[in-house]
Amino acid sequence: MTDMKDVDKGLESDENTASGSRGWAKLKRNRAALAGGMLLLIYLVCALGAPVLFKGDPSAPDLMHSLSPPSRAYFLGTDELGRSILGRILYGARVSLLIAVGVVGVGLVIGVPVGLVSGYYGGKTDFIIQRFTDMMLAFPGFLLALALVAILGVGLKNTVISIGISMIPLYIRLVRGCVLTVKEEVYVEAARACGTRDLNIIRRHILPNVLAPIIIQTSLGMGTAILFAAGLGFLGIGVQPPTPEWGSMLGSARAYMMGKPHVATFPGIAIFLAVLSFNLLGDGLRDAFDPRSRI
Amino acid sequence: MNRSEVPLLSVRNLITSFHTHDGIVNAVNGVDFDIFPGETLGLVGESGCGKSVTAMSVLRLLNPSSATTRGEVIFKGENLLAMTPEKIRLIRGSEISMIFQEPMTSLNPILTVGEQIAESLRLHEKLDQEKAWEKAVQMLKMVQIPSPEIRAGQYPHKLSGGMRQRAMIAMALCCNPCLVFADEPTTALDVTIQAQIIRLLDHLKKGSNMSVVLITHDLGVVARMAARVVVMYAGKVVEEAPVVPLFHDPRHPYTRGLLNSIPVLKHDSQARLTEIPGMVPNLLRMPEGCSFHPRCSQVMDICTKKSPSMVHFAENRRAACWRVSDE
Repeated sequence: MTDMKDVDKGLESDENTASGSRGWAKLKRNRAALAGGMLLLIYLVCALGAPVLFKGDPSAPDLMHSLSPPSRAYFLGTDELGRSILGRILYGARVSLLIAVGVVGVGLVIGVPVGLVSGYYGGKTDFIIQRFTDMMLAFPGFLLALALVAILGVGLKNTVISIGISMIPLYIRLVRGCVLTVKEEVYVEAARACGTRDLNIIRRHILPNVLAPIIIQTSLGMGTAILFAAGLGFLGIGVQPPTPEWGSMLGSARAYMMGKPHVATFPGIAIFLAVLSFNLLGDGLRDAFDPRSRI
Repeated sequence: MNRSEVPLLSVRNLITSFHTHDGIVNAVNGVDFDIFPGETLGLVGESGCGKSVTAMSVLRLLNPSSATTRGEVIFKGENLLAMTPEKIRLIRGSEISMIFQEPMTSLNPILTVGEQIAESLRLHEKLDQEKAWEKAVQMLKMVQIPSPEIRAGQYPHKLSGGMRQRAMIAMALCCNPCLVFADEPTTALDVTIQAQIIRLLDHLKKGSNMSVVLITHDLGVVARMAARVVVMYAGKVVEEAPVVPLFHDPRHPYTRGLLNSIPVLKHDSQARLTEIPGMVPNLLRMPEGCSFHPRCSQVMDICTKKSPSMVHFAENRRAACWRVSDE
């Protein structure tokens, strides 16, 4: 048993080569993902620190200074009601963050458990759930959200609910697909052969092993949620004024596009950067942690 | 072995069918065998003959939406196939457990080895977290893993194949089951480790009254460990005998073929290894008559027409072959 002792010596100094740490190293090397992370950080600072970064009410009109171009007093200029665009973008970041978190929350809370059940139990349960998902996926996501808003009505809460619902099938499909692979693993069979309860198998053996793709989808989903919310706002059926929301800012700036382009440009850039940050980070996470893309 | 004893597990006319796109496939087709307390039974056959499916069917581990199991599996006087799912779940791991073939994949990569063993202990023995952990470490010690305290806290990727298989054995045995299905426990390991694992299983078995069903295609392992052997072919039992008579006087041509295909070192190195010609039949297109007849060297007319029935020709011996029934 000398070989065993040799193995033993190296036990504690053994470097951690778990796939997790390898993934992190890979993520750190990915410049695009790092840039996405930095942008996201800036976005979070803007959203959380809006009251500190901008003093005053972003919704209080000041008609004397309406549509003024960027200046020392109004860093990004003002909109048609004379409100600071900078202030509205900063406060708008809070709204879009709230929407992103809320939407992904709805998707996760409903989509993940349903996907787990669908994939794990299979059979009729799976069939029914999957046909239902097929039905929802037949609509383009935005159209589904649009239809739901038409039913539920406008406003922040309904925006979150309708975009959230439109994302549920994506999570169901994703989780189910991953569960189908993981549940065939011998360790799941071994756990069943040990008499482990189904619920415990799902919770302890399956869920942690499908977490990586869920996290990736969450990051990408937040970007999509912001884009969808801005789309609804732009059409005037999302978050309602005077709440500062990027999409509705863009919508009302449409009329001044030719004469005062700054009014539409800055909210547009904000949407672009926020979505870009989530997408870059999500792609980076996928490259780093998704076993299918590991080379 | 005393035949008057009551068997611990009796499998009677076990039929497991899988529903495939091309039709229904009977992977296990009318299997019967008994296991007595403290006995090691070898379940032998080529890949795809239904050995593993038999074990999975007994424990009802197959997905009910793709496979149906019929027949009777009597364990301690109760039919496992007719039990409620909750009842069979409590038997799994505590009274009947299973050791799997692939030590590399049979442990969850994201739980430590100790946690995985402790999980079963917490479930069946109702131990609290700390006690379960202590017992898990003890189990690792029992399967002769060095520094069990450290190993218990490690993730499976830090253990070698042999050590993982030891951990898997510890997991299967932690609740003192009276019956263990060892599904090719040494197939994925290299030869020196195989010998260690077999020695370990033998050693652990001697210390208890546990019965082992050793599923393997390695006749060397069977010769070393099993007292009695059941040979399976294409989902059916073709021969059963105590281990010594089986090796000395195999009656079914398939068993003979299996034994002849073991390489012998003393042989002239130029001599070709004897093989069984042909392939295992496609379960969807089983040959008429005896399922072995297309590959059999002693095929007779009747073999192609009628399937032979099981003949008990000596004490503890039976075979399903027309040649045996003729004698």
